[in-house]
Amino acid sequence: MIDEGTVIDEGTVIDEGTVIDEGTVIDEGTVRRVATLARLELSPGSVPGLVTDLNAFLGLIAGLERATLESATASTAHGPTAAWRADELKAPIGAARAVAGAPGGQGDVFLVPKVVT
Amino acid sequence: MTGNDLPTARIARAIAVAERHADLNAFLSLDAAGATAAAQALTRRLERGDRVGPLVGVPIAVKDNLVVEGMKTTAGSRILSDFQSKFTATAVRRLIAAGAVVVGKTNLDEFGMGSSTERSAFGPTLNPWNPRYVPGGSSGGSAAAVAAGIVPIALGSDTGGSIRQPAAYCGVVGLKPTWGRVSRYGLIAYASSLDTVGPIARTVRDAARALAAMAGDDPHDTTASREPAPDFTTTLDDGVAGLRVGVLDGWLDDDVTPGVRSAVRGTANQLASAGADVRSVSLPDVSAALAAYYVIAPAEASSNLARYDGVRFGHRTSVPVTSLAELYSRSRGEGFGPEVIRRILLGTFALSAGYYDAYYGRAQAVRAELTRAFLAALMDVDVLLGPTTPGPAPLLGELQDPVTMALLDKFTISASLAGIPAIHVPTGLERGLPVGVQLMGRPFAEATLLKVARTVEIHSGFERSAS
Repeated sequence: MIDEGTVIDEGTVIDEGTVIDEGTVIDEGTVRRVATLARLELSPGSVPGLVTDLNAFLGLIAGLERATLESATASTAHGPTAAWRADELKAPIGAARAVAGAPGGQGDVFLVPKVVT
Repeated sequence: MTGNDLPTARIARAIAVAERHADLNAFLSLDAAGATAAAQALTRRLERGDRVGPLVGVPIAVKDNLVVEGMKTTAGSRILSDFQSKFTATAVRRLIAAGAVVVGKTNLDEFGMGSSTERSAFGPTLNPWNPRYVPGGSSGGSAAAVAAGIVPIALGSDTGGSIRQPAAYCGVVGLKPTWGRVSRYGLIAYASSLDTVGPIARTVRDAARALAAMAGDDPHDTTASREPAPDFTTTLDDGVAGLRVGVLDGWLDDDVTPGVRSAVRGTANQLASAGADVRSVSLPDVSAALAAYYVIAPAEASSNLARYDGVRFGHRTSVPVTSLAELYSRSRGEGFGPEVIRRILLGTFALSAGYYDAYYGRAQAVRAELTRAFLAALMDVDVLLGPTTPGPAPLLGELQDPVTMALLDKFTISASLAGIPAIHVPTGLERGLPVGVQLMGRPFAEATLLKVARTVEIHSGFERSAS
């Protein structure tokens, strides 16, 4: 399904000029970082194909930029308007601090008492 | 045979036809024993003179992302290949309460992510009109089961077109209700703000009967609407005199096939002859809707599918691991197919710090604008008429590129984003494959939509036979 013969160079956008921000390109490093966030182990051979596919989707998503908005208010369509916080990069608090209050721990996770025996 | 034996006879026939069409791979599981027992129980109730529901003895098929107690629910994924639910989805439970009998669970693109049913972990479903073609997706198994004459009604789910598009490719009726009209309790979530449960049926009347049985408030789903659900069948034959129909001519300039273009134009003319006030309506370009969908749906999927980690739900790796994080990521990497992995990554990327204003925030703004435009257009007209798909079904294996596949849904995504009801009605053939039209209506105005759909059905004279 993923044709590894069509691997593109890192940093190459499939359809130049159609990405939202020209600086936004998904490279192999980004795929690996996002996979870690999503807790997905990728087979090593799948990464180049994913770079190709995800950049192709970014080309599709660039249609957002071309949309004309009369009232550019982001909201969920069916519920009360969501509150938005600023999209700023912040350093995470770190695993050690996050589990500091736990009764027991193992690496990055905290342990809970066994309930069902 | 007496009338009391009818449920048993109908179920036996449905099972026999399903087995004869096993090569279509429409079903992931058939429950001949359970369905036969349910039919016999209905026969006993009829013999006793007990009250039975309006769908007594009607065989139905259920998309395998809706849970049914006692049956496996795989969502078309290896990660859930052994999953059995402890309860039954509200939509299915209500159909059973109305007398319907579940004969089996139907194939789908993994977790509903795909437009051809080729993205199932359990092999593709074939189109009953011609097995070289896809049945569409993601509810391809349900559409094929109805088109092959196995069941008159099947349940599907529609997030961006997954009921309407396979209905179009298989020449059957597919209704995506208003978001919230049918409870999502027991539906395996893909993108919750877009997910809907609805019927795929041989006729508009059967779709109306199924919706009437399923619709309504549900204490198990706080997003299920309390809007009263009328009996959608009573107004079906009221005609379209005086109704205002807006034709989306702009969508026909897009690259649609001649067959689809003439289906829409021909339907507009027939509705005008039947007394409707038909006019042209212009709405935003579909590319913005498609772009918003491919941010919002993957973003919600990346969150909804976090539960499949080998601990809470789903396949657990048998490879020894050294940490919990490794157990999660290895189990998920082994269990999910390539399309699901692509969408989880895309969604996680769109929500990650530094990108979510540009992608998720902007997509939600486009969605709000699109919804406003559709609701405004539906103030001036009662229903909108346009294409469901750009053309008839593609060949199996033709859609290797995920973006090309995404474009097949460009006409169905807008109604999903706006949360409005939409229905596909078949009208004719192009190259021997079915084509038809899409009608969209005001929120909770399914009765009007079905009434117009019934008129289209009568005037099209479409021959509903795939074999």
